[in-house]
Amino acid sequence: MSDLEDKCAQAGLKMTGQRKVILKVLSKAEDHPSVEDVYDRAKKADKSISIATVYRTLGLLDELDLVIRHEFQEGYSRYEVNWDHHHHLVDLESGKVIEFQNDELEKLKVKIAKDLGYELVDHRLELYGKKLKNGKK
Amino acid sequence: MPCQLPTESPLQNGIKKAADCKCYGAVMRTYKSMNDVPQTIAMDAAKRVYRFHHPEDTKLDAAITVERWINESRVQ
Repeated sequence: MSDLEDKCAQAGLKMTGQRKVILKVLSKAEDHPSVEDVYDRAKKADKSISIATVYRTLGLLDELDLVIRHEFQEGYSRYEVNWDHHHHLVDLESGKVIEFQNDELEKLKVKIAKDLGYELVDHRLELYGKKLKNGKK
Repeated sequence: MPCQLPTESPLQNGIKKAADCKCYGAVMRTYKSMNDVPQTIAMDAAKRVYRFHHPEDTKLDAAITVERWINESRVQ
């Protein structure tokens, strides 16, 4: 079960085959797909999916706060999965991935964007490192 | 017309097999752990782990090796 499916199950959403396909499309999306985009991609995996099913599923996910609905002034909504915000530190030796959150870092990113004359909308950060011999933990 | 690529294509040089490589576990661990990010990002992270273990590889060889390992793991 994917992380998103897991979250849906926890929220009490019944997991049908078509919903699983839609969740997979959302999980794999590297952009902010519209309903039409999700429909086009889901249809490649399951031809029986209708656009009404996609609308209904996205509506349910929106109600459950499992997706974020963006209005980019295009006249329609775009969606992305509402993952808990965190970053990754990858241990290069073992391949272990540590998820972390850091308030100072969040503030710093907003400040950097602001200093450059921008409002921070999105970002991604992955750290790579070797464990210190006398490091903590 | 069938493809006539030789079995020992020059493209195969430098590509490592999963079974021959001690870092296979670390590379795949990274890729599979990063299941909450787009696939290209998880793939990039896996390649960085691989390149840490194999600095002697060219970027292209490293990329092909890791992509092959990941594709093989999907098929299995």
